[in-house]
Amino acid sequence: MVTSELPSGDFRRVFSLSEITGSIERMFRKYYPSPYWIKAEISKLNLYPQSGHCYPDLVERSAGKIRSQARGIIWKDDFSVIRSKFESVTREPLREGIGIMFLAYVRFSSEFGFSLQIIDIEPLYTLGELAREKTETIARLKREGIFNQNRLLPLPLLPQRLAVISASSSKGYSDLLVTLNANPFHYRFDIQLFHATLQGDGAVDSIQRQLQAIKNRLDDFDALLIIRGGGDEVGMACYDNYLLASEVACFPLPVITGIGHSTNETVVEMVAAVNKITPTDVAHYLIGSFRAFNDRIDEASRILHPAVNLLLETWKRQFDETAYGLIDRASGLLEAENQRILRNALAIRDVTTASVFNHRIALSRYEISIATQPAILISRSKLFLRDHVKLSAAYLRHYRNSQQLRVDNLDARVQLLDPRHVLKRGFSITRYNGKALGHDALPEAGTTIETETAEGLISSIVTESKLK
Amino acid sequence: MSKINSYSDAIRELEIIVTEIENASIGVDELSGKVKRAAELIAFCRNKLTATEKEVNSILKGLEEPMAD
Repeated sequence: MVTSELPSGDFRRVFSLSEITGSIERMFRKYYPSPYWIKAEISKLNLYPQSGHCYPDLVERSAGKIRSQARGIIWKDDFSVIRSKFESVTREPLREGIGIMFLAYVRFSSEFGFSLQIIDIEPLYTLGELAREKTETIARLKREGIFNQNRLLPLPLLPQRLAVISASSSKGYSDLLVTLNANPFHYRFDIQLFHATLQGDGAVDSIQRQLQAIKNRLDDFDALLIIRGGGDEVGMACYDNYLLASEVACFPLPVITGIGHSTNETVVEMVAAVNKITPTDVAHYLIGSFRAFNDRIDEASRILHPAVNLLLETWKRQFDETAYGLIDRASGLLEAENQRILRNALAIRDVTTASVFNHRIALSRYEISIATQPAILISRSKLFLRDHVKLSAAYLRHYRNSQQLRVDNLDARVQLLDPRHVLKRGFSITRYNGKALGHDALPEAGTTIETETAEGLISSIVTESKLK
Repeated sequence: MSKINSYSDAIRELEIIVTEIENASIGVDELSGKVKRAAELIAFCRNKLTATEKEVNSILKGLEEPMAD
């Protein structure tokens, strides 16, 4: 323990804190004896469930800036009364971000400091505030030109792949699933749940987060469903929140809402492409879309069937006509070709017959020639040969005779010159030394010469010889 | 005396001999030889002619005979 004794000689008056706060407390009680109606915004609720007391932070803002703030206290007993009255009228929980008009004692407690002890809240004020906020939200969305943006998106013909923002355990979500799955046409829906808080505190943030998550996978879905249902219809003001409503309005997929409530339409529902109030209605709507598409297909097939049949019929007829035309043309062509071949065949036959006939005549002529000509030729040759033989014989005889004559002539001439014949005619040959006297020198006197006559030889002695 | 081969050779030689003799260009001594040769040649030629005539006649007869019909 520290004793706080002032040094002696110091006469300043010193108060304990409790003396001061006690004085302030007395002053507050004196100047603020009765409670006042005050309006402020709950910036933080600070409800302590164990004790049941609530210590809301209250602010007044001006142009977004906090102009004033104070701490409130609602004691447990007051709080339960206040809350049930508030919620039954406003259909909103006491929550942060909400404007309230409250009856409070302005208190200062030595123990807790300054606070406003709230003993009552006027829910009609908040109701007005909420309505004002909703009106402002709508006005702002319209001002920004996005109020109808989602509603103008084309609705998918077959809303099959569905992103669902809901609470997994909620009755609304289960209603949706049951109704979709029980559809009598066995249409199949691909549903992916994006779990979120769908009412009261944190709903705006939670839904916004899931909107963002779905935005990242737009190609996977045909439509977005916001489904809520079952439980208290408290805390629906989040659907009038500008931030949430503008996100929904600007969402690139058509948004279908089934928030399930009996009060006025919220802004989110107003800007959504389709609002069906209850999840079951949403399911019926989706099935209806399938059904409508199915009907369209049925209708189309009903129209298409006879149309196609007619078309097929027409084509078949055209085809048949073409085919028959083709057959006609083909048989015509064949006929013409046949005729041509026939004509050619006839022509060939005629020409052949004529040719054969001519050749036959020629042949018979040859036959006659062959039969007769050799005999003629042979006889002619025989005659020719005979003539020639005769001629040859004649010629040969003539030739032999001429040769005979020639030989005879030569013989005669030889006979004529034969020395024996000459001697017979009285001539003689005188030889000297075995040689006939002729051109050589005369034999000298006294030599013997021999003279041949036809009858014999004469030897003579030369008595005289002299040249003539 | 040399051998006589053919009629044409024989007659040619004979004609030469006759011409020689008639021109008296040969001596008396050669004369008898020439004449003797000439006689031979003449005999050859005569024989040849006779033989040829016979032969030709027989051939012609052979030719004419089948031609008769």
